[in-house]
Amino acid sequence: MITDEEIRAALDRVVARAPDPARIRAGFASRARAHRQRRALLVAGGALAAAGALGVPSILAWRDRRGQGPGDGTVPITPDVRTPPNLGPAVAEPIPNAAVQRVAMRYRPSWLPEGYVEMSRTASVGSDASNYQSREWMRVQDAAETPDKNSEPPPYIRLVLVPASRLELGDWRIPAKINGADGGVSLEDGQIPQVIWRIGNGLHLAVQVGSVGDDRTVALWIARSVEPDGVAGVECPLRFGWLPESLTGEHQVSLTQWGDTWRATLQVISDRIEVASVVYGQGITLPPDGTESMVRGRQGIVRSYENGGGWAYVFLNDGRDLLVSIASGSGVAVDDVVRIADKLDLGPPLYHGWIGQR
Amino acid sequence: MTFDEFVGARLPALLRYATAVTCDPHLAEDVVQDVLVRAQSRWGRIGGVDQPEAYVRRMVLNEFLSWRRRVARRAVPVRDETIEAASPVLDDPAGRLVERDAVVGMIAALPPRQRAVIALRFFEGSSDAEIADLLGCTEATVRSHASRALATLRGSAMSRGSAASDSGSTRPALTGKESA
Repeated sequence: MITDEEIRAALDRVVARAPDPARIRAGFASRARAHRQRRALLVAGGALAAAGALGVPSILAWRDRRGQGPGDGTVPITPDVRTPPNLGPAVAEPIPNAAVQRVAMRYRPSWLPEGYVEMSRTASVGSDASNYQSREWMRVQDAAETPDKNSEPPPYIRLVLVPASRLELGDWRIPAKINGADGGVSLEDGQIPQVIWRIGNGLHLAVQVGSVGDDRTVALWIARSVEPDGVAGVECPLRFGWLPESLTGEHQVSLTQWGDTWRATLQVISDRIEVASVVYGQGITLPPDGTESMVRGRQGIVRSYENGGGWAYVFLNDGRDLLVSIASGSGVAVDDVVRIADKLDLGPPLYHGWIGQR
Repeated sequence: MTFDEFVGARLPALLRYATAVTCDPHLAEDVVQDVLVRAQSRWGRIGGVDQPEAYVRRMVLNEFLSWRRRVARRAVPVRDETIEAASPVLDDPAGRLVERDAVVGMIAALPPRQRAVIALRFFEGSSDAEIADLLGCTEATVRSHASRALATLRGSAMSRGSAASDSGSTRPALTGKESA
């Protein structure tokens, strides 16, 4: 039997091994410098990703180096040959509860580099269903092992279905045929490595690859392996029960997992900007500066922003966190933020067995 | 108080706090460094609050409990070989050293929120209300975390005792357990 005193003594022994402050001070400058560099990389990467996903090519630093691929190689633009699959055919996924909001994913790759598993799915829902979808794969070890926080973001592969108006086929690419369709490969410098092609009905598909190695070539191989899916799906246990009239826009759901916990997100996107989001999962980091208030009948935490908007958080009795965030400047009163949380429909358990699979 | 003055005066205490909460000196170092880097960039605001140290401590706790870090850090906190390396049986035939470090190992193996509650309650001497405020949850939730943590610790101790009796060994029978 462990007594309280034994616990205190054990903690005292741990604390006796606390790091040397002198070492922390000595390493602080380099850590701060690495942090700034990493932030710069992330900001740049985020801007490029946003530009790639949302069609804002004007911010890219273009340089015409057509025909040159990564490293010393050349992107195999031609011939337009379908990539032989190394993945099995699409397999129907269980739908454990029909009440859960589910969107079928329309496309899948049939070839992926070894070691990459699916970690995230996002899809438009409602009237905009299927207008925007994305799927993301990462290496198993990046999800399951300790990353070096000062290193580059881990490698990723992303398949995106997007309205053509958001991701245009401009002259910032090397023209290429993708299984017979018009498309292109991004130029080498200053752009997120990606392959984009038309699939009709005003939609484009894109394969974006980061830090995998020979990224544009890999993107091209994956692009030429993409095929219709329709059996994979993303489920979201969240549904707005009430929203202020001012919060209009496209609704997107996503399910993402790193390690052994999943996170569901429901967003409202207006003019390509997130105006509302609901995050549901375990271990969600609480934003600062909240005050206690009742949320969904439990003791929660809320915060309002000066120009409207704010957030409401509550730890639910299922052991998961719920965080509703409304953008600053939206004019939404904090009481309405809480009301959004209170009226939110939380569905039954969802299927997430696809996470971590190829 | 400038950022440098704060670090100069409060860094040792901050490191002890982080070490207690994480039950892992290496993780504590990582967390504190990250938090200080972020705090430095926002010091204009943090330095102006009534209790900057309380603010930074909350940052430490949030960083430790943050989802990404928790997932990233789902390594085994204490391994058998770690315990064995720290507990030479021949030098301590009664197994007291083994037993004492085993308690540390059991605390370190608790899920992060439970670990934080135990550290805040037993090392910091915080009340349930204070812990609830720090964790952003209700007092009932704090009590639930504490109750589960203590049950785990006492259950582990009992099973360890049984295992040791069965095997005739004083070495702990701890196996790796994910912290997340």
